[in-house]
Amino acid sequence: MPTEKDFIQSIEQNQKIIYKVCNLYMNNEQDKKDLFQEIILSAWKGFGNFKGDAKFSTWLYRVALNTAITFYRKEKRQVETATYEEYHFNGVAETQFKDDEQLNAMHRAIADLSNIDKGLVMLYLEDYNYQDIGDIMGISPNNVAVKMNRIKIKLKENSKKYL
Amino acid sequence: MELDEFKQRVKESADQEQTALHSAYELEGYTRKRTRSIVNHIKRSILFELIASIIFIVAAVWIWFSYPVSYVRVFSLLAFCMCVFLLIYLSALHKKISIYEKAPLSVKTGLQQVITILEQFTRVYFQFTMITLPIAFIFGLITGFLTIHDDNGFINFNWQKAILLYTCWFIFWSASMYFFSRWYIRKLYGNYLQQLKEQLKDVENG
Repeated sequence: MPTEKDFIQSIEQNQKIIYKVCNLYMNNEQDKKDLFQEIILSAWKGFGNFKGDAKFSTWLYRVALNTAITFYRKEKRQVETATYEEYHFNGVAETQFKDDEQLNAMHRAIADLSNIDKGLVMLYLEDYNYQDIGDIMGISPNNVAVKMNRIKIKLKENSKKYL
Repeated sequence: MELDEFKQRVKESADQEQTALHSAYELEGYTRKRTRSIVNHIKRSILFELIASIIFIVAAVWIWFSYPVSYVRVFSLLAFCMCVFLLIYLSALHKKISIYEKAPLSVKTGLQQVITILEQFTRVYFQFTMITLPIAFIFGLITGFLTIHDDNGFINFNWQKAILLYTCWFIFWSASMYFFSRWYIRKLYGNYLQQLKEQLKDVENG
């Protein structure tokens, strides 16, 4: 029987996943905090059913994405979601890529994607294969492949707009 | 730039990432906080309505035994049946939400579950409001009839006019309730439900 201590320990080791999801899906600080809390609560509720047959990080991605995609924001606070730049560079003081136009253009193009496509791109960038991405999203690996091809073309085209 | 090239560049920069992380104590604090999720909000509403249903069932039984008047008994029986139906339906929905909250679902199944829960909850809320209207109409009619009958003004009373007025008022009231309920449900969950359906469509489209 998993305990609260096990849960906190696992979350502590994998909390960057939650940060990434929050920064990708939310723009303002309050929404990010709310979503962070919501993901922890969802994970805590479901932790009793975590059997350990998958990696904890994969399970956490599933919970975090589910929570982020169904997360309800009050109308007043519904603003544009974050750019991938904020997702990736959040907390980094100086990086060599911040002034890279091509990278910035790609960040903006990712920010323009739908919530579902953002989730697919995030999992792809985290090195998950199509089978794992399909399991997390609830679609077949072939479907993931089709979607990823479409997203890649879209990103290539859309990133040019920001150059 | 291609996505794969971007992926490579992102990986290269990953080593430099320094995010301020939460301590174990802070994370533990988060598990004690109250959730803001819509599904949990519905779960709390259902719990409140389950308690209300139980109270109404007890009240209907009490009325049945305390007032041996046939029409009062008919209405207490109707109230009893409606509350029992509501109790069974809402208990099943409550259980469904509890299972949903604990199950490690995929994004697609999660979306389908939330949509089903929202639709079932709003449907029963709307139907319950609508079904009470004809019951209230007949109850009001009988109560009115008995009140006038007891007042000895029965013979001179203009029944046609009274029933016509009462029916007009009732049609107006029913239409108001119909539009208000639809507007209120849409205001509470309409946009959210629409967003969820669009996202589900996005997942399902190859």
